[in-house]
Amino acid sequence: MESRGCQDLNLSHVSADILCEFLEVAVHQILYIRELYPLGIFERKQKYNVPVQISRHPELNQYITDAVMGIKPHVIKDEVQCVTVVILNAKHIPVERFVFEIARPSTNKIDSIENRLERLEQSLRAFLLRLNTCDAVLHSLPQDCTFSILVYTKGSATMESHDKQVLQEFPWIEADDHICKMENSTLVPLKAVSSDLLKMQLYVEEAPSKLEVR
Amino acid sequence: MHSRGSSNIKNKSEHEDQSHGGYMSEKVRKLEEQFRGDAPTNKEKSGTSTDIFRGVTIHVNGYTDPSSDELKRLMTIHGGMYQHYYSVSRVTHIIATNLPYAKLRQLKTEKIVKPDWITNSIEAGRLLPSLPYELYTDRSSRQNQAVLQFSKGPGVKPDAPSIPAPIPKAAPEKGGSDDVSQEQEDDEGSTLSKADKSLAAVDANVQGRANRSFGIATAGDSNFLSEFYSNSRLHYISTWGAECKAYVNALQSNGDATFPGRQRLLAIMKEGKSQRQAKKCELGVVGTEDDDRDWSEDAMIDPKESEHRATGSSKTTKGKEKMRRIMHIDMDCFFVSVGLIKRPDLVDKPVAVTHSKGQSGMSEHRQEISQFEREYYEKKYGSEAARQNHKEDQSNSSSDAKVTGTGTAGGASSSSSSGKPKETFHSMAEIASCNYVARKAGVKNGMFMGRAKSLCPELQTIPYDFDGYKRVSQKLYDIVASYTHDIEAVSCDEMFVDISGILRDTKASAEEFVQMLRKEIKDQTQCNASAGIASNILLARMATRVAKPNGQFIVEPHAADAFIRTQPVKDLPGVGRSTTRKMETLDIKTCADLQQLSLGAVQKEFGQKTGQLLYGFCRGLDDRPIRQEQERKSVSAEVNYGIRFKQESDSEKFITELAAEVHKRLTAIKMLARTITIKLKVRHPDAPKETSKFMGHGICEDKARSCTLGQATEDVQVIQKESKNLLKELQVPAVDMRGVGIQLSKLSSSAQAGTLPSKSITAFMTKPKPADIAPDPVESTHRDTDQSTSLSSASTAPSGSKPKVRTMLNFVSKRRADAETSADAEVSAVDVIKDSTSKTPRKKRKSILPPLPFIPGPKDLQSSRLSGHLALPSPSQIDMSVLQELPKDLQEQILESYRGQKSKHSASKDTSEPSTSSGITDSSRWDQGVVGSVPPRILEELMQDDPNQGTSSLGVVEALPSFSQIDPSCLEALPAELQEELRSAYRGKQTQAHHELEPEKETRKMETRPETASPAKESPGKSPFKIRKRGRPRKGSPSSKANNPKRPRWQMGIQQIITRIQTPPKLSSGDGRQAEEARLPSDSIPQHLRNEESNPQEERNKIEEELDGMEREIEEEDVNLCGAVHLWDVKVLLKEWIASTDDPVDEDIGFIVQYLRELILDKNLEMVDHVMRSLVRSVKRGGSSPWLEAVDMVIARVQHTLGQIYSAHLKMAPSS
Repeated sequence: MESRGCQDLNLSHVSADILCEFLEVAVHQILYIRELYPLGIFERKQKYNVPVQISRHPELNQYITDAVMGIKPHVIKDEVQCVTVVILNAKHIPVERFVFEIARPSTNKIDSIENRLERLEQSLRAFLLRLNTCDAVLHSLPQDCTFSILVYTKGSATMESHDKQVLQEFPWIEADDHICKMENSTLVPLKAVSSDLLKMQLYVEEAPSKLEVR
Repeated sequence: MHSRGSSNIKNKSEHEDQSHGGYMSEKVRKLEEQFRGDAPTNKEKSGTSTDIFRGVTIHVNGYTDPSSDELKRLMTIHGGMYQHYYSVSRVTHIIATNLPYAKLRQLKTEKIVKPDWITNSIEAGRLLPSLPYELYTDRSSRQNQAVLQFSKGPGVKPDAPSIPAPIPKAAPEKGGSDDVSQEQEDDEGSTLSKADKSLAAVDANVQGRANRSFGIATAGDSNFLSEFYSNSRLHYISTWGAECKAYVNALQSNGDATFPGRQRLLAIMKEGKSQRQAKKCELGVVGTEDDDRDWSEDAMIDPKESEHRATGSSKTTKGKEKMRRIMHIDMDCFFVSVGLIKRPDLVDKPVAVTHSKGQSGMSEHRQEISQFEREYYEKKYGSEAARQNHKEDQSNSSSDAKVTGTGTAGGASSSSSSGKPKETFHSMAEIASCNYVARKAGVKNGMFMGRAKSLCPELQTIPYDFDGYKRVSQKLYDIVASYTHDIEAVSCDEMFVDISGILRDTKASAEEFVQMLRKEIKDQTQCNASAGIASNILLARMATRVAKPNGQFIVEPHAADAFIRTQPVKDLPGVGRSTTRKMETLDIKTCADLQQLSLGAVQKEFGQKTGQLLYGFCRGLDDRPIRQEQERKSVSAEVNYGIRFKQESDSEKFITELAAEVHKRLTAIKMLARTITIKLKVRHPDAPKETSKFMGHGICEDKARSCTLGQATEDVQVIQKESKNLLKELQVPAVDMRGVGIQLSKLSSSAQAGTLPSKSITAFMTKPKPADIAPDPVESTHRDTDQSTSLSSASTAPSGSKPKVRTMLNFVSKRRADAETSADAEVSAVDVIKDSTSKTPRKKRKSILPPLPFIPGPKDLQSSRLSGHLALPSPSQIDMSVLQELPKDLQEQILESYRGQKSKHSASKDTSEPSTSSGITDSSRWDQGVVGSVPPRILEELMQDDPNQGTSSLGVVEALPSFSQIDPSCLEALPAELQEELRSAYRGKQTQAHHELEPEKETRKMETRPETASPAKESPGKSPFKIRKRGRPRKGSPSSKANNPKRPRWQMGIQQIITRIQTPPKLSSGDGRQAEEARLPSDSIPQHLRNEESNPQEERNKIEEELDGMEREIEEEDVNLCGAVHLWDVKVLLKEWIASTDDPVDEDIGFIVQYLRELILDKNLEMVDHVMRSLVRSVKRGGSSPWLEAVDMVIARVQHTLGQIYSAHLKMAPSS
């Protein structure tokens, strides 16, 4: 029993690692797909046996890495409700956001860790593939968009109030309300997975204002 | 021992004495008196009396040939002392003929001598050396390894006279009488560097003891560190480098730029050169300083030029005049040269400076260990490098070498003077420096004496001459400084000098100048210096290598390229052992080889930075300027010698002291540090416990751990605490530690941060309790309980039930302690106090230091007051007692800022989620005892300020610790109403308990839940809570529609258990509590909350119905539609359903909607999307209008749900 408990502990770390790794890749991928940065800064790499586009810009990479690292401790403790990549237009109004909603996995199934990890990888691959094609169902973005990464933690009761923290190097700040709000947005589910290690869904919210601005 | 108050001495033996207590010391004293009284009579009797044994105190252990009585008599006659009771501090020799091993170990510090020694000495009429008579000679070798002499502080001094003089205070007179005193003498002789005479006397005294008490685990001694650093002379030398730098800095900042040396050179040049030159010189003589300045500006441009030249672009003498010329000057085998000033007879002989005489052979035991260590390195690095590595291991920690220097010096010289060649000496002492004669024989610096001896049997050793080093070093710097101040001091005998200015001023050639300089150095110091001159630091240094010994080498710019190509790579700065090895595998030996590689390749092999550096270096490129002031990057203190802890507490204590030492150094350079690293040397699992080098670290594994603080600090306590934590985290058994170091990095100038107010407020803001448990639902409920009670305390106090409430409070606060350990410690004051957000930020703090929050300086405070945004910890974090202590205006300020946040809170607050209750905890976590003592005004204010008060005072009852946590007796002690209230609350809790808790928590609870919980179970239906529980209602249940009551927008956490507030009716009948609530400011109760209250009964009914249906359902069941889980199955099902009828039944539609809603709740929007599409497609194909309507309805309802949860709608195909 004890060893089992130990295993579980490790598992939560392992799955957090995996998740954060995935998130990092996914953020890059989103930036690429949504053409937030010149395509030239991306280079093709492979993750989970699927081609992905990873930025080569060191500062951008650092930002993403830091953000994801900042999320990790919370993921380990299962406190993250969702991680969103919010795309803001030139006026800093959110026009689109990619929401990775994370839930506590249903863990009661008995399976070897290898199998579980294997399946997890498969599902993450599916996520990436879905992400690759998501531009088909989304309207293209206006010019000069930026992005920011938001984390919704479970500690907060409402969607409006968030959490902030100072991680060692990478301080989180409470998001402005206006970044979090998107009026009349439509929701495009992209992918959901429920495995022993991870339960997550990804959907995109599109603001109608996106079209107006254009 | 006369003085009982000898407690200052932390010696083991002294503890022994103390444990004997006053009685024993008294007895010993009496016996001594008696003994002295007997002495004259005995002397008379025997007629002969000598002073042979003066200073010797013996203790007889076990059977001896002259009986102990006889020995005692002999001692009285011959001036010695006799002790009945063994004591380390008094007894110098133990007399025994045989000792069991156990006893031997006990007495390991003592000289154990056969009784023959006494009789023979008397026969010989003088004190014979005790060594040949020692019972166990093996131990004797250890004994001669002198021990670090840690004076035990001033406490020793008053004590010393009362000691029956085992150690003659005037050691020199006693010279040769016994080797203990001999050792002292020699040591005293060599303690010349800094100790003043009186101190030296004490030192000598103490050392005598230290020798006898065999200071193993000296690191555990309280004064170890300060002694270590003040006694370690080599450590002192290493600080000379810094001293020299300081000296140079002082010169530079002095600005008094008259260079007598330069003038002299100029004069010589004038004399010897033609008139043409003399004319130019006049110009030069005048404004030297100005010229210098111009020149250095030129030098800024120079490197590029020189690079061009170095890379081989054909340049001629055109730029020569503007060339930067750097001279590297280094004394030849500095220590030896200085040492030889006093020993001119040894000049042509191989000489080494060391502290050991190097008689061959160590004890067998040590040889074994040494052998082991050697093999280890052979295995690790290949036999070739083994020897060298072995050596390096031994010397790589400078402190290691340093201390041995101190320690063994005495032992070594003692052996030479007492002239016992057979005495065994381990030869693990390093050679600090050896001259070129010795080097020819293969001896190298840093080599072990034993090995050096075998290479060069006639090797002569000379002791350290610290004063000499300092003197010569000073002279060297003075001489150079008489020419220029563009000096970068490297160490006491080495420096870089920018001589471009000199050369230009004087028109001397580099050759001439260096010649003159070296001659001057030689004349004044009698030591040889070598110099290299080149266009940059790197080349100058390399040139010096060629120049040695006693020479000079000038790398002309045009020759630089050729020069560097011939240099072996291992001579490049930055190329160490491992890099060299790597180079070897790549078959790179000279810089020319390295030049073959591209930058990318070099970087790939050796890392980004090093690669870049090497790439430049091997081409002779080095644009580093002469640094006049170096920036400190880190501060550290490391001790790798003498670390033998016995228990964990030793190591903790030690690290605390070491942290203080580092702190001292940190403050000395006026910096703040952000990162703390601790480095441990841990005994290699295979390595023997003892090391071949006495008290050295042997083969070790290095472990390090670091942490970065939220804010740079110079607080010694923070450093200490953090170091301790890190040490704990490393989880190394204290006994295996062989070296401990602390390094502070990420330094910033302390001037940047205003630290004054932070200290007091820091202490007040946070309760630094390290803990790792994250707040979890259970804890939150605890806290909520606190709150409930704190509130009830406020309310019930007036009604007279105070004492009982107190007990409840005590109970609760005990409970609270658990919760707090997690929460409080992790709090960072940086959090803006949005309660809903305060939970998460804590987590990351885990093992990082708790305090060090951002503390607003006065300025910040002011501005934040204006904006109402003071960055304070949540009110719960405030230690009320501290708050009380604060000045009035500060108090007000803090209170005000809390007040300011109130409105924000109530706006953003969800009413009643227990899992978010970190927000609800605030007032509850005030230390109850303190709350009581706080002036009522402040208390009231705080209570008012607590934004959650309204909420919690209504919702408190349900937030309880698990029933099992409650002490039944405590419960019973409560007033009946309170009891009833609690019980009813628990009744409700029962149902929700197992959903709320994490699985493992749950089981734990189950195990511990006592029978007392049963009454609560008996009455289910009366739950006062409205509970919306995750899960699926029974299929077809009529209540399924009621399952999704319309929720206002603010209730986002639909998944979480939502508890509604319901005031138990009996309370509303107007007891004190209710009255209190009524008095509460009504605006603190969120509007929506009160609305909710209006129809509690209705809602409760709904919930109860729900509960009935759901309770036994397995929570983890997959969301399904009539058993269909996967998309395909669902699709099939839908198709069948659509095909089956033209007019769908409402119930079925509700069914589908329910299913979709569950999917939404299950966070599977993808599925929702698929199902909806499938539905729409199928219906469109199928076509009947009722179906279309039905689908529209489904869509509308699903969208509605989505709107509630995600405040967004599903993007549907436009056709729908």
